[in-house]
Amino acid sequence: MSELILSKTDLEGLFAFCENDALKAKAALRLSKLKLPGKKTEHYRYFSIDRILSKSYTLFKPYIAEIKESEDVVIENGVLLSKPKNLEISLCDSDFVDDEHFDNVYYVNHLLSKKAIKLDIKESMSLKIRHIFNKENSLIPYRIFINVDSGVEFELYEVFEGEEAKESLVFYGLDVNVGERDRFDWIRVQDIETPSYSMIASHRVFVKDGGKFDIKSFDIGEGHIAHNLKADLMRGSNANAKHLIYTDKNAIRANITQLVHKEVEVEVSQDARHVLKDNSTAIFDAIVKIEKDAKKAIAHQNNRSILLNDKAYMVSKPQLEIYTDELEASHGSTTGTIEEEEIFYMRSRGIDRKKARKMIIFGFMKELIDSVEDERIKEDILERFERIYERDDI
Amino acid sequence: MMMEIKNLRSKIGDKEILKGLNLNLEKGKVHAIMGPNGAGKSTLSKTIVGHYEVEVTEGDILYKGESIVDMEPEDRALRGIFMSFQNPVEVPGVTNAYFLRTAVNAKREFEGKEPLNPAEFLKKAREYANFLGMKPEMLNRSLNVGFSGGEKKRNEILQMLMLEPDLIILDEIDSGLDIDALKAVSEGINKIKSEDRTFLIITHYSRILDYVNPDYIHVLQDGKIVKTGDYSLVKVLEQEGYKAIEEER
Ligand SMILES: Nc1ncnc2c1ncn2[C@@H]1O[C@H](COP(=O)(O)OP(=O)(O)OP(=O)(O)O)[C@@H](O)[C@H]1O
Ligand SMILES: [Mg+2]
Repeated sequence: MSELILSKTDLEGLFAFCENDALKAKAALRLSKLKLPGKKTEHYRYFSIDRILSKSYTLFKPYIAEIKESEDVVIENGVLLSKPKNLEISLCDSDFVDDEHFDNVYYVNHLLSKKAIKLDIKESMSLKIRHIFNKENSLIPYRIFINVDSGVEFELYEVFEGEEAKESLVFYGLDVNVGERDRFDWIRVQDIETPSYSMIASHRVFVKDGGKFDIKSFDIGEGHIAHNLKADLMRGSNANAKHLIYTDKNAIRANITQLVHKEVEVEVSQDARHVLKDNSTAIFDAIVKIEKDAKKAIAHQNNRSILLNDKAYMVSKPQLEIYTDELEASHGSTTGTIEEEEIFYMRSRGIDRKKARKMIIFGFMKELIDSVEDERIKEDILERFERIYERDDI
Repeated sequence: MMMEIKNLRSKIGDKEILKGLNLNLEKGKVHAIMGPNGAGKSTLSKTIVGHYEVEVTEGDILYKGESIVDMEPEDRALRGIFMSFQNPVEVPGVTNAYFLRTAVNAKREFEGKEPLNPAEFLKKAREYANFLGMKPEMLNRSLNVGFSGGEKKRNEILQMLMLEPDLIILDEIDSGLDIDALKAVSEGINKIKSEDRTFLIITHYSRILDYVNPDYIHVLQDGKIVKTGDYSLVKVLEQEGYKAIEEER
């Protein structure tokens, strides 16, 4: 059993858990610049990073399980348990590392993950991954590496279950390679009803020429969860990101993204919607970066938030970082309450104020859910939101 | 009497807009209100339905003999008061059908009736939509979002038909309508005219009045009803303008 307090660990301490020298060298180089994660890390300023990293965790040691067959991929505490028959999965060294990721946890996560779960996607498919956490007081680090072959359409649907993982911390993330003219549709739902685990996820997506990357994330409920995402977009590719966040109680939910136009003719659009209840905090820290040679760029960013309570706190930072001169770009952010005129319209038709309010808020969220094309996934997500509709007094 | 408005004064912000207005609306009759821009016509209808911007400072409104000035807007609606908005608001993500069914069932519940199930509801809604020349897919779209001016007005009439109110206030329902839409809207009105129902039609034009045959024409000027007459008053107004009435006073 190894106990770990991350806030008291230095680089050497982390290296002790990593056997891969090449990875150590790479991470050392990058972390010497970024420094180890802590409250001084800019993108974690409003996140509870200090609290999370200063707890003592038992580092969960992954083992190699006998892999069963199932409709979905099931990963329990970072251990691959089962998978569909036709899917190629292997374990590989966790050394597929982006040299320029902005997030220091990305490197820490790589160092702590012994092996990455590697998915080779050779034909078009739709796949669901169930992430299950059921260890208490543990640090659970793992990573998934996905390689999508050229010309393939891949839809990934991720869900999380972790009621039993009280006081645990999960580090996880995807490293995805999207081949030329591929399509990668990634839909992620993280629904937490009572506080259990915390998570810092750190993803990296590399999109080759003409590839399409589409992410839709749905964050619901409680918990301290941050998702970092960096996407590098090559010539003629595009990224379409949509985020819907409904937070309640004492949740802190963060989407920290960096979508980078690396080459010409890249198109990015990013839309976020937040509904914040109780004392919750949501963070939308989203940079769209357009590099010098990335001419003919298109970039649109928007965030709309509704605060249901004056104790809720929205940190909204959509940012365009532009180093080229040929582009079309826009960005905006609004935070507010519900339009009184909309409520009145409904009341004037006999619908009481409370119900009207609820209908309007769910309408605001439903617009984004409706953008999910896969009907089965859409139904599943709608059901999760309908549970809140039934349950919550908003 | 369907409604008695007595010496009504109301303000929006600090500005007094209705300045001692008196008006009786008879059961089974069609009343029309005309009057210059800014006279207070929309404010009158907003006051009747309990709009949050309007504050009643004096006077009373009796609906079926009962004062409603302190009543919540939804309670007024459930008791049968309906107003079509001059500018209906857009509500993204809430489908027209879901909204309408919720409203219809809220009223049914109030009346102690069983709720309509989705199939029964849809059948009825489609029938009325068709009657009004609305495409059925309008029911699946978000409430008023991206509806054209004419579509919004037809949608208001659709709500009126579905809710079967007793007192119906139509605020410039005819503005911006093409000939077909005006006809459809007028037919919608005529369809539910009855001895138990009262209409209050606010308009600037005689076109719609030619279709619906009002029993009374009232002129609202500077926050008061300054003249009441029969249909012939419309022609006078059209020829001589509101100035003539002002001079008469
Ligand atoms: N929200 C508001 N804030 C300030 N003044 C208002 C507001 N709403 C209405 N008013 C004012 O009240 C007066 C009456 O407006 P109202 O809309 O009732 O007129 P109207 O008779 O319906 O006019 P129109 O024929 O142009 O529709 C106007 O002077 C208007 O500017
Ligand atoms: Mg008006």
